[in-house]
Amino acid sequence: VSDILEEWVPRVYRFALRLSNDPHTAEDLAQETFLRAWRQRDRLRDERAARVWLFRITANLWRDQLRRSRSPVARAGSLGDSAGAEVADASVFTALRQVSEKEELTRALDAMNALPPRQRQVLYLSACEGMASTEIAAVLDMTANAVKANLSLARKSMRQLLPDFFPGAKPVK
Amino acid sequence: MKTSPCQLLDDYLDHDLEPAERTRFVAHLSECLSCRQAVEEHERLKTLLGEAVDLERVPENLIPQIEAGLQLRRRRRRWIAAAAALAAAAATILMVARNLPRTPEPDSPAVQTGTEPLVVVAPPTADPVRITFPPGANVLVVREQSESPNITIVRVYSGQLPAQARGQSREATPSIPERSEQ
Repeated sequence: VSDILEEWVPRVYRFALRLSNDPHTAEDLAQETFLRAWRQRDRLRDERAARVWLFRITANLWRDQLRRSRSPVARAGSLGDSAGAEVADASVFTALRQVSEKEELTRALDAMNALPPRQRQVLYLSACEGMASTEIAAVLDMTANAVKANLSLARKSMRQLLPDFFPGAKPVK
Repeated sequence: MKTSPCQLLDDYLDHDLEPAERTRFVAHLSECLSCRQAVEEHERLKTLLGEAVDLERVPENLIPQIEAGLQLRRRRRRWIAAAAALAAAAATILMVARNLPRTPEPDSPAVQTGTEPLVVVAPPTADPVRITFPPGANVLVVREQSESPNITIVRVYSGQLPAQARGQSREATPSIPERSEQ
């Protein structure tokens, strides 16, 4: 069990961070994910599906929490698509450009965290977990087409947020 | 209608291509600068983000906490299973006991309570205990009343006879009261 936890706890925790954008909430989500996974372990028929299964539990827990809570943290990390947030807010672009002294990786992380919730989540699962659209759709309970649309927007946003990393990107107006 | 390889770009980036299509698209990359740049950008983004999330420190106590939580669940589950087994065993014993024949033995005392006959079965008779004292011993043996017909209680007093035993009012207590049961 320890080996499994060593491998999976960091991954679930980081995914929970992408959902909630809050370390304490992510910690709680990760804990509850494993307790629930233990209770429901009989439902996992195929070990190859373990990743989708675990992340789906995390996403469902987060969705339940959002329903129950109307806290500012919960709203900031909403799972749903936000109508006016097709790309990240322009103020974020400015702020990110101003912190030129920050390290590349921290900037990349900040840029991802600044994305609207859906884009942040699909980008993380695609880029960091290497999941296919269908798997992401299963985790986040959305259609594969919606996943692809959000991925496309997320990449566009990242190119705009990190123009110096992507020389071919169009400048932000 | 045949799809242009450039149209497969998003599917390639999204890990959604079948192996044959993937091979076809990879071959296309060598001749399409635009797709190649897009793929290179994507790979750079993946690398950046992959390394960036590794920087995020997982709380040190998170794994031990989860492990402890799981152990608690396992222990609770074992307790519940043991309690269920115990309850099942108790229920079985009760059922067997209720179905045992209730005919009293001929010499056994029986008490009738309501309509249900309650049978009190006397334990097997113990061998009589014989107590002997050395000649000239200054002892007094007094038999006490017992609630059970199968138990005899005697008090053995050495030395002077107690006041209660003699039925006198003057104070006189035994030096070492002893108790013997048969």
